[in-house]
Amino acid sequence: MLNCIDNSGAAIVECVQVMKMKRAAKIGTGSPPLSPPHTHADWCCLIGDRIIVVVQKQRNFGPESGPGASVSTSAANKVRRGDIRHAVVVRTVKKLQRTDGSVVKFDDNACVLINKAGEPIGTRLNGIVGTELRKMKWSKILSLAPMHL
Amino acid sequence: MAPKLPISWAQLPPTFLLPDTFLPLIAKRGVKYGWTTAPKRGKPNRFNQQTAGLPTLLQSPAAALARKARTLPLRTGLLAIKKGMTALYDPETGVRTPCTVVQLDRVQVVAHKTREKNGYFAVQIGAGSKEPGNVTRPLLGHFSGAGVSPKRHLSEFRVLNSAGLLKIGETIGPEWFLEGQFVDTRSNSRGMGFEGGMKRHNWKGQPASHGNSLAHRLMGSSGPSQGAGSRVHPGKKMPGRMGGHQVTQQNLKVLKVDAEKGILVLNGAVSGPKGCVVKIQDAIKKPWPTIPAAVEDVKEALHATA
Amino acid sequence: MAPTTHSLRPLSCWKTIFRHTRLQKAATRLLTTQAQPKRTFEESKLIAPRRKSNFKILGPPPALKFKEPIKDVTNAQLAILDPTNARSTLFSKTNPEAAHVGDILLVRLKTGDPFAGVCINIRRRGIDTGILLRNELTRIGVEMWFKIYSPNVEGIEVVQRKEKRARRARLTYMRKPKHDMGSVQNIVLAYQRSRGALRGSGGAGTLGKDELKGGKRKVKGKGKR
Repeated sequence: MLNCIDNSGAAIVECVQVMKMKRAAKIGTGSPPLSPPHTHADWCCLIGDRIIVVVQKQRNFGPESGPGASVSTSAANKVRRGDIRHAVVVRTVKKLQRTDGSVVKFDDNACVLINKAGEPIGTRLNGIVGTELRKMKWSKILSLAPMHL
Repeated sequence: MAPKLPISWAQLPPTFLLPDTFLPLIAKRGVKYGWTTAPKRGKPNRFNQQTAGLPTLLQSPAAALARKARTLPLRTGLLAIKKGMTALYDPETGVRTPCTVVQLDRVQVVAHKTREKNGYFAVQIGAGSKEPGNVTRPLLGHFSGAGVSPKRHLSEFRVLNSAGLLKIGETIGPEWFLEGQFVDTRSNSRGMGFEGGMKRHNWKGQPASHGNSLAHRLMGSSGPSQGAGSRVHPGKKMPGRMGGHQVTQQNLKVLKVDAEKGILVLNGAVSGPKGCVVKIQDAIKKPWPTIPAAVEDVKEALHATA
Repeated sequence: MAPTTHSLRPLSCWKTIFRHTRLQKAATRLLTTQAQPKRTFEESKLIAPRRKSNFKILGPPPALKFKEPIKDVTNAQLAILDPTNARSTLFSKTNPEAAHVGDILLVRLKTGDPFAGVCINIRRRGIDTGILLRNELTRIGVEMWFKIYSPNVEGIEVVQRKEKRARRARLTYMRKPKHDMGSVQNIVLAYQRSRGALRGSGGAGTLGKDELKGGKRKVKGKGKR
């Protein structure tokens, strides 16, 4: 279960699949891709990894959340509860080490929903994201974010 | 008792007069279906060889050398002492590189192993020093024959051919390796003592609940029962002594060479505790390093022995 | 002077032979245990093989003087990365003006924005010395480790000191909601504004002077409190 920090309409999503396995080759770190992951750490996904999620909780926009607001909510929300979507991890509680030895750690896990082509579904992000997104070719998400670290 | 046939080699015509079919010199008899049909205990003679007509063995020393031809380094390695780990920063890019520092201590060539005498080519390298009173007399003679002082550590480094046999008594410094080249290191890992199967062999262990009682970290079954002979098969992984065995680290980059201080700085980790002996040799999975003119004098010494 | 033996009755003389051997053995034993001249200290120190040997034992070549190569490598690195020794003094245990756990520190980076936060851990390991800063950005708690000697770190400044000395070496309890300081952005912004004003009055300095000025300010700030 992780937070969704864009305005696509999802609040909390659940990760059902990590789509990486060739991460090492993608970044171009030189190390060969980890053929079958054998430790728990290899199954972890880090900032910039693409995952498949199920929307578990929708976000309610605006102050009008009285009766009859459900229609407007569903209209504003681009996704609904139970939808299966792709997403990109933008924050992790797991410490992430950078090349100069510095380490970044957030207090929550968060992601941004994307479509199959890799474009973000929402138009705004609210919250800090990791700079690793640039390295992983997610500059579009990075430019939407109010802050990156 | 039948009289002996009065045939001797002198009476036979010379070999070039004998037709091949008349007396095959390489015995083909008794070999069928790709293997010999000669009786097991039959006395092999010139015309009834057990191995005649069979493919050459792959277990011979010559075959072993041929197999190793591509992976044996051209030049010897050396012995060093692991001093610990630190990190190097690149002032431009800011990239931090963890590294291991090893130091060389009076490394000298002590002996050679040759193909004629020992079946393979190798250089015996000694490092450190030892009180002569603590060295046995046979070893003292070995050292003094080589013209070196008694050494604390001795190790062999295999080389491809006699060109790699460095002169006996030659002192090797860290400049033997070039900055930027790749090396393999071998050293004994840290001893962990008697460890359980989960730590020693990365087993999963057993569930925490579901009726499990006092068996969360046990090895479980050690094998099948009657079908497998009701015994534990050889090689079964079990708890036991962990660590303290030789571990090879391949393709470590040489980051720094300091001949004055006698140190080598290698990229990444080298197994073993501080103060352990590390065998370092050119990496077998990278192209052999090209030795520039700076080490020309060593090269000359190489040629002199070759 | 062998005793006469009877050639015809050889077995009859066993007793004589045995006695003779016994005597001879005793004589040999006496000979070997005879008092020897005592060896002097210098003589005993010499490597003198007991038997005559036809080979020479060589003494070891002189050992290297560099016994602590790790320290050498570290110092060589520090000379490049921290030539003014500013970082080392800022985090040295002997310096009373040093930054401590609980202080709010600002790390200026070569690439990207500066990061400020409460220092909740200092890990002293020579060249690998690092600090752990915690802050809240966009209402999300963020923690970052910085290596203090990293070339990417342009400067480290003390924004605010803790009033009372922290009684723990690591303030990891500050992650808990009860003890969390929350965002320190306001304090840092106020500090940056005042520093900007100070710089405006004193004139723009170079990068090296900048750090010195920061140090001076620290002293002033302490005097105020």
